[in-house]
Amino acid sequence: MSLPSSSSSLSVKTQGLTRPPSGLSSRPPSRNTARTPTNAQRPTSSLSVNRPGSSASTRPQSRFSHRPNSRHARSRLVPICQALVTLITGLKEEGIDEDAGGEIFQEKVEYAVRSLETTTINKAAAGVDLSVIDRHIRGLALKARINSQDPLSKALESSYKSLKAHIEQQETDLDQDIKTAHIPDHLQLLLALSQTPTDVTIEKAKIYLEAVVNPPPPPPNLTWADILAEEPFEGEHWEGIFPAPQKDSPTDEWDSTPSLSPLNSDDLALDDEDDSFSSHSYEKQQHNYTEEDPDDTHDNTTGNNVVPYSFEHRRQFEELQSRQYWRDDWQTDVVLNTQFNIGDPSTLGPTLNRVLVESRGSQDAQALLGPERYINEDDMVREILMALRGNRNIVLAWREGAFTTVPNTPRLVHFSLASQESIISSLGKIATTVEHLRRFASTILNISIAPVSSAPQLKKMGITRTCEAFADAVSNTVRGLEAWCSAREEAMCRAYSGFEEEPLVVSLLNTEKSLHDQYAASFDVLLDIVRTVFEDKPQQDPDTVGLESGPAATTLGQKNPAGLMAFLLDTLFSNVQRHLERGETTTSDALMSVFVRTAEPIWSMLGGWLKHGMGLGLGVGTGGIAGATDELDDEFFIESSGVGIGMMGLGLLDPEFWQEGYVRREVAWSGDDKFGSTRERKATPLFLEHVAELVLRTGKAVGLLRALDGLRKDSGLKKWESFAQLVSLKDTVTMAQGKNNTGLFSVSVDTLSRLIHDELLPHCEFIGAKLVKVLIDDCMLWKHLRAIEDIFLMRKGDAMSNFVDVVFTKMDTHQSWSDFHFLNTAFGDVVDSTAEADKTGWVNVSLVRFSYRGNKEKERSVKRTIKAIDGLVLEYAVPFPLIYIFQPRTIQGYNEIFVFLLQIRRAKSVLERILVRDERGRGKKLKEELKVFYAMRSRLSWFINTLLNFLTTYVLHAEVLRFHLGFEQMCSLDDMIQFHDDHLEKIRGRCLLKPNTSALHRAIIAILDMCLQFSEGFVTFAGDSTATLDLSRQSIIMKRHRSKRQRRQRRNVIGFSQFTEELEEDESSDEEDKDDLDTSVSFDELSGSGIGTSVNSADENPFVRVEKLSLELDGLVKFLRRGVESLAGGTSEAAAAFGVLAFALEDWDI
Amino acid sequence: MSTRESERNSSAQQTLDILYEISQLLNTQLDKATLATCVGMVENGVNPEALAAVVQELRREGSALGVQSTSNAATTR
Repeated sequence: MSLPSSSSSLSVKTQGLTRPPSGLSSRPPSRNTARTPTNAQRPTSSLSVNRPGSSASTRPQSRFSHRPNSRHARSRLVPICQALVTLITGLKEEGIDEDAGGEIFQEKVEYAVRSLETTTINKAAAGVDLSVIDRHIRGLALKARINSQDPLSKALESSYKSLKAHIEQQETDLDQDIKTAHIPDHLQLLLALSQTPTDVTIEKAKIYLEAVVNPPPPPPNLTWADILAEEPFEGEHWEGIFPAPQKDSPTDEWDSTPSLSPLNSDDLALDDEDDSFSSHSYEKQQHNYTEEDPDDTHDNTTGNNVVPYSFEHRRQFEELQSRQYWRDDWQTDVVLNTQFNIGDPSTLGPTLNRVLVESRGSQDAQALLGPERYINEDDMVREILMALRGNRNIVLAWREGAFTTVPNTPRLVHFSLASQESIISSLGKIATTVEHLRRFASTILNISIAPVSSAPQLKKMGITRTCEAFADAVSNTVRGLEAWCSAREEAMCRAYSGFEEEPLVVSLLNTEKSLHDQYAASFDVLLDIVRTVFEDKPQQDPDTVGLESGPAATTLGQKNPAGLMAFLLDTLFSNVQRHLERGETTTSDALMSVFVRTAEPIWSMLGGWLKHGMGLGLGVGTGGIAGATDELDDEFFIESSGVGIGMMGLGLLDPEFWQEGYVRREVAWSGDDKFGSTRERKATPLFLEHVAELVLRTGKAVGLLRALDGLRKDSGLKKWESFAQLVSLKDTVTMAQGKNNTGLFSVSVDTLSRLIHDELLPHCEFIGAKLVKVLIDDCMLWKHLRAIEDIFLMRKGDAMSNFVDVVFTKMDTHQSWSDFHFLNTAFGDVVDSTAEADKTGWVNVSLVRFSYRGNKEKERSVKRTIKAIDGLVLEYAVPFPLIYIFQPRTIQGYNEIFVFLLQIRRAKSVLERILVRDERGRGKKLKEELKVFYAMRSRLSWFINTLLNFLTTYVLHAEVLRFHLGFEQMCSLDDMIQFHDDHLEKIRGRCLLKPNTSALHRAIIAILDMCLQFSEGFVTFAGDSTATLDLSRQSIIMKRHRSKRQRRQRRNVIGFSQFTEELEEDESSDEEDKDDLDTSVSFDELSGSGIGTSVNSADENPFVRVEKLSLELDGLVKFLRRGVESLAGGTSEAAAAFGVLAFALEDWDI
Repeated sequence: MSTRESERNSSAQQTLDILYEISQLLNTQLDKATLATCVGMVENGVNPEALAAVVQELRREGSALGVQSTSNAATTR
């Protein structure tokens, strides 16, 4: 068939119809006439002959140019319409059965042309906008969705979208066959033709969607192979290669193979079979063509997917299998049955085996066992690496808690069995150790992550954080080994694949050496540590039990967590040191990294302690439950002792709280001494031993500061570095110092301790200083200290003298001097009176309390013995934070000094009250007698004054001054407490109040008592009560400030002029003498030194008594002097002070 | 055939393919060849609505004649 308007032979091809018709229509019709000869020759053409009604063909050519536009369009439309009619109706121009003459065809064409040509003329302007089509398509999609035809809706939208994308892509190309501008028109045509979707439509939509999701593979590009493969050379690409078809060919079509057949048979002289073959191939080709129709593409592709296993696959499979050396049926490529050849190492193993078997005559057994399996050494190394990583392998098996070789372990051809065993067992030992460590770590970690409910016993066993950290560190080291193994295996694999240019030598010995270089004995040591610390004995049946129930199941519970922590860290560190000293830096480095990781928890606990400080022990926030305040970890080396905590506890306010509230933990330590004895020791790791006290103090200070609100938010510990950072810091320091830094650490315990100390010290000092500042500024430390010194040490001379005088007056008048209210009121009065003198209240009276601890009897004995004053207790109520410094026992120490001073003063005042005078004119004899008394009084006075002078000047004043100087320098509360305690002890020592000088103290008391006796004796002798003088009351009344010296002067003056008769009650001297006797005797008994003798008869002559007293005094003073001299000659720090006293006492004999 | 021409053809072919898909989804009952012809006509300025009317008319006539489109399909292969 051919179209009349076409002259091109190409255009009439069968395939031509599928070609875009643009080629047809764009051809200028003017060529029609030029080709008339060709048309005339065509016998089948009926264009001009059979179609009389066709005006196109009959029209004279001359009119062509004058034809109006409509005609022009018509001429273009006719051929297209003919094609259309043919396509739609099946009618043909030459006629078919129903339309023999082609009249119907002509009619239809005429109809089509007529209908179309009118619209075509006007068409130029009438276009449809794309937006209209948009709406229409959207509407259709929506309609489909409403009708539950989702696939259709989606497909419609999708295809429309792809069209638009395509349009946009082509927009720039003006040279298109299908103009972008016409697309709306095309769509409009389709829409106009569209019908209600049927099931088939929906199926098509589904297929379309599927194709969108899974696009079919793009058609293969045309290759030369394809081109040459198609035996009938047809297709456009052959055009021009072969000569043009002959003119007399029945058809002018190019692509028919039969037209080529003659060529084949003639020129190439192919036989007949070839012909038939050719035609056969042609048919086949045709068939293929049909199959390759676009509609059937899918079927084709699915059919091709079924790929049968080919020989190639089989070959690859076999090849892969041949490399699986672990298979039992794997055979090495080495020939095993060859004779021994000294030049071929691979003959060694089999030969030895053979010889051995032959020499023992056990061929049968050998045959029974089957042949040995041999593998290559590199494979063996891989297996060993697997074993090291704890994986299953064919060389080593986990039997009875160790990796051992098994009977079916493969052999290496170039080793004897013994040498192979030797090497492998060495590696196996390491693998065993590592496996043990691995199991240990996993056990610990399993226990620690197990919920409490599931394993309460295990939880109780106290897997502490340090334990966990240790397990993690061990695990980390093991993982390091695994990574190392993997890296080696990777290197081997790379070498297999030929990635590496450097040749890689893999051997067992090399592996062992590298392993040793890398890790040395780290794992053995670690396992030793595990076994030592956790007392993890190798178990009887490790295969079943393993370490599951654990290392430590039994032992962990027995140990105190803190003790375990300390023991673990100490053991680790001592191992680090041991290996470091031996120069095994590899091992020590590995251990050190484990140590550092293990120490992290305790380090962070330490940080937390330093940051938050001690609990305040007030039960706040814990519901008041005693014990719940213990917020510290069980394994921390500081614990709350529970002092001051409890139902009635004062907590922080307890004076003991500072010292006792938090202490370093002590544990029973069945330690490292060979005897296995259990002893107490602090649960502090050695490397923290040096800072433990510092840390404890600082934590307490932080807690106290918190309580006092003296710690601002920002002044706490700002940054807490990890232990690893700290140690690495140290590392850089040593590097900077240019020391011989062999490894990561070259530290001893001392170095590490110093490092930690240096790290912590600034913070600790800061906190300490801050606390001191708060104590001084906010708590008025100095004010209280001065008040205490003023009262207890009588440094406020005038006020205390007034007070003392009042008390002594009471004593002299035989009134109850020890009455609680009297004492306190008197003191208050004295303070009030002096307060006017200096406006600053030097003491808060309400804080001071006098009381007397003793019975009435004792109180009354004050006339006879100075010891009655012992019962006097002076207390000073120190406010809260300062109570840590001035604890009750400290105040008690002060009280002792106070009492001692009071006793001396009492004796002094008694002596001074004696008026040795003779104005009554008792005669010369009396004068002589009085001289004896006078001398005695002088001697007593001299001693008392010397003693008092020494105490006030060289002891109290000097020491207080020194103390104040030192106290100002103190930068932490603990130092203050310590310094103050030392100071007090010094004073007490110098006052001879300590137990070691008790004899001397008693001697002094005896002398003081002597003063009382002397006074009594004198009064008796004088026979009246006027022998004594008391002005103290007067002084109180006058309320005037007077110094001691003034008073003494005044007394001397006034004493003679103002004679009062106040003291009238000294009547019962006889009884008192008896008491005196007792006292003296009791002293002699007590002192046991046999110094002098005492008065033994009340009726004795007073002069004899004085004589005796004098002797006794002499003995006592000399005894005292000897004692003091020996103290001065001693090596104690107080020697110098006693030297002063000894020097002063030397004057006694002069 | 130059690459330029082949590009043009393939582009046109793509457009035609997409249009064919849409026509199938719209259930227009057009085969590829008919569609190509119609597209060519529209490209030449034929009013699409008129053409649609013609196609429908022709179909009606064709079915009245009893000519099956099987022959039609065969020719397109």
